[in-house]
Amino acid sequence: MKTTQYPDRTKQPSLGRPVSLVLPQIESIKLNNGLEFFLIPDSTQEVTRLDLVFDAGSSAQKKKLQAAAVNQLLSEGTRQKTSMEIAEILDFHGAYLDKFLSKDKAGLTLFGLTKYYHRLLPLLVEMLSEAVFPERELKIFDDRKKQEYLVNIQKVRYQASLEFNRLVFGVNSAYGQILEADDFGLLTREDLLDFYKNNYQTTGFYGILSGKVDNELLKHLQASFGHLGQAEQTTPVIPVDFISPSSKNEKLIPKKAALQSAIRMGGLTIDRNHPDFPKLSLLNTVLGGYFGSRLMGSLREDKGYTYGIYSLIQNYRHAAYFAIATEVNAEHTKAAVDEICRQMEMLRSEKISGDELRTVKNYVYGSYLRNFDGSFALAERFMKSRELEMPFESYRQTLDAMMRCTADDLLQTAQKYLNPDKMKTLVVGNTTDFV
Amino acid sequence: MIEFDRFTLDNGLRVLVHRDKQTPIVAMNIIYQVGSRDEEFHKTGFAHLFEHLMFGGSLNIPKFDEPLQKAGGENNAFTNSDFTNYYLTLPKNNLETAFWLESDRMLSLAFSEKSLEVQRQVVIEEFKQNYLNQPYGDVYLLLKPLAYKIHPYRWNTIGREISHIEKATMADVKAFYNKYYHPANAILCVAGDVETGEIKPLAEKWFGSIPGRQRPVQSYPQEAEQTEARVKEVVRDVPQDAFYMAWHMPARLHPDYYTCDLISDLLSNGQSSRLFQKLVKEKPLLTEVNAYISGDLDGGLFLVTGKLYPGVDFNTAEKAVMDELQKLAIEQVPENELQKVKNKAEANLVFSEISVLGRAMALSYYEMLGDAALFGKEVEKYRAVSVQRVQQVAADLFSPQKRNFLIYKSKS
Repeated sequence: MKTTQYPDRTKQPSLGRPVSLVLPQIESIKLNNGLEFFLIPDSTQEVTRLDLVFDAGSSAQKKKLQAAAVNQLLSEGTRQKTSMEIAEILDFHGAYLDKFLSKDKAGLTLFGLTKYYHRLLPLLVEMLSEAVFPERELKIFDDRKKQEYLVNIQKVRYQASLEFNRLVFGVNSAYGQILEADDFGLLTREDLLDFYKNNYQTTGFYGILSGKVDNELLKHLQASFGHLGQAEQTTPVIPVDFISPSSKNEKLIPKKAALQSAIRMGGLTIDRNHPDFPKLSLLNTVLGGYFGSRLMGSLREDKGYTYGIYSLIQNYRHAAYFAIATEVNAEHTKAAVDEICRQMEMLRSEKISGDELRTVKNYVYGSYLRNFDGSFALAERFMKSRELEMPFESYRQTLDAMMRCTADDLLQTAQKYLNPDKMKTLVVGNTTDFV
Repeated sequence: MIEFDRFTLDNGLRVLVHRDKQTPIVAMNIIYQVGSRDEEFHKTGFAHLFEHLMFGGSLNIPKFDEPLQKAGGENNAFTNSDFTNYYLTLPKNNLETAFWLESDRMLSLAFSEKSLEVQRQVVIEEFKQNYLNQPYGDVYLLLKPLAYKIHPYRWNTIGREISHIEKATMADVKAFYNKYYHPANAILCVAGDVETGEIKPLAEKWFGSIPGRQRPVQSYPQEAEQTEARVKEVVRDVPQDAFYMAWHMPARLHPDYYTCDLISDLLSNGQSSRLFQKLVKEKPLLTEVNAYISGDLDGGLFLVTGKLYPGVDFNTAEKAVMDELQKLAIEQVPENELQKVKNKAEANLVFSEISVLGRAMALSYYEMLGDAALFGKEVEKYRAVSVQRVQQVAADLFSPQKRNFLIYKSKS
């Protein structure tokens, strides 16, 4: 006979000892022509992911949209195949080809069943060695991009993220470039070929293979990528100014009919190599880095101003910024900004409790375990560490340093880096209560 | 094939256990079999509002998120027309916290007035953010009542209007909870480096004492077959003209559900798909085009949507789209083209199995459909679709008399 159990529901079950975060040693192979591929094998599924990473981010472009256009059109025609033929091959094998582009990096990610990789790898090689960038495809790209922009710019959230980027990095800087309505229709095929040659073909790139990686696959890799004309390892042209921030601290963009206002606050901050970074990162989590954060607790769960609010530290190779972002009920715009400032002031004047500190640390620990779980997640993190030019192992060191943080550390860090008076504020929407 | 064990507690809770030795993370997924189709016409948006309230404190736990974060965990939830799904992940060594949290809110909520007031505001902001303050945000608010006349699918999960959410009372909340939130109306799945031998005692300990209740009787008025075309035209302050076509399609468990899914892939999945190649690349008449199915259990919609290239008029675009759809009914699709979308469907299934949370969600979902083992049989069902069947189904599906057509015009 089973007896019904009545457990003590008033207390949380005791927590186990933390599982330690294990970062694998990441091996690499070099093909005969010198190309390097990093391997993160996991044979539990019959799926492989391949990332190809180039120094072809938007900060390297001479004209707006140049980096994006080249990235997108790599698969829109080669000397041997039309855009349709390329699409047919990818689709027939159930493969996905994602293109990615950030300020510093760009490239391709292929997801596919391992058993079809021998058909897919030569196709990628073709894209890297003989893409032709047909005029027609450029026109379609440009038209579609423009329509997408016109739709997005109506959203306060999108407009705020563009304008905040410009406010933080500065109008005439490589990192501060943003899309505007008159940027379309200006790119020529020559612009694309030029960027392709400089940023995809004559500077080095590397690959990451994750998921199922067996000897068969490596043989196919050598047979395809091994014959790619090896690039000279030249350094890409570095733009003079990644950032040139203005002294302006506030930007208000009124939108009369908007039901919600988008708010952004923040500014440039220390990067990952700075000794205070782990503390600031933990402090960011307390303020707005998770669902239980101070900002979410106050602006959503207590006041109901918003569906969500968060803060983050965004790292690039040559700069980092801190930002708080939210969309709030338009009539509470000013109250929301004041409350955000009040929450920062509180972290600058009062030590956080031992209980909250423990919660945040445990949450961060768990999120590291999640973010490094599985070979695809590891591939993504590894790529980011290379982008920021940090050793992969530094994630572990950052985590360890965060776990050592005390309430005093956080108070001092807040006083040093979390000053609302020095931050830039951007509002898109109801700006009537701001002077 | 995804392996799992299954057992049922005396109070009716169905429990699934899936083992994956590779991961330090455990996923816990719970489906409550209640969605917006269970709402009344004058009280819509309730299932979703309720999902928010499930985080506002239970009998012994004032805040759901806090202890979970303390245990290194993270969670979220979603509601659709048919069911409400809660999920969390946490490090394996803190698994018992997950049982404690989920069982307490299945036992009883705290029913706090404050939580109701705040979540009401949060949901209203969500309504504005996603449906009103957003170009094309109101499309489904317009389209669903056009396509459905009597089935509760005629309103969206967010609700018909904000006032319904404003008017929700604590009495409504309690009645809803008592009817739908109990063991026999729920499916629990635990996935990670766990064994059934350790999950069973935990499930007994934490969920076993929750009183069992009868599954609610859920029946819904079904739509009569549509016999005449419906058109609605609106003008909005958006940059681009757009259209939305919708046809009724078979219920989730009907074999032609798979045929319809593959037809939508033939039309718009991937750059080599028909609508994309013909109307975006070759002509170009549209800047975006999409064909997809809504997948609702009682019979969802087959949707074809697009945004017009500047300067293209509605008639030209509509004709070009309809020609492509009709072509599937007139000419048999080549075997290798059908093979292509089958391969894609198979690859997608493999991709969806990658994360342990993805597997926990899928197993719970198929158990709700009748048997978690159905998950492993999906590939066969796609493979069984023939070129002849594609032609027959397309001929029946895309009839102009059964079409619901939303014309969404730009003011400018």
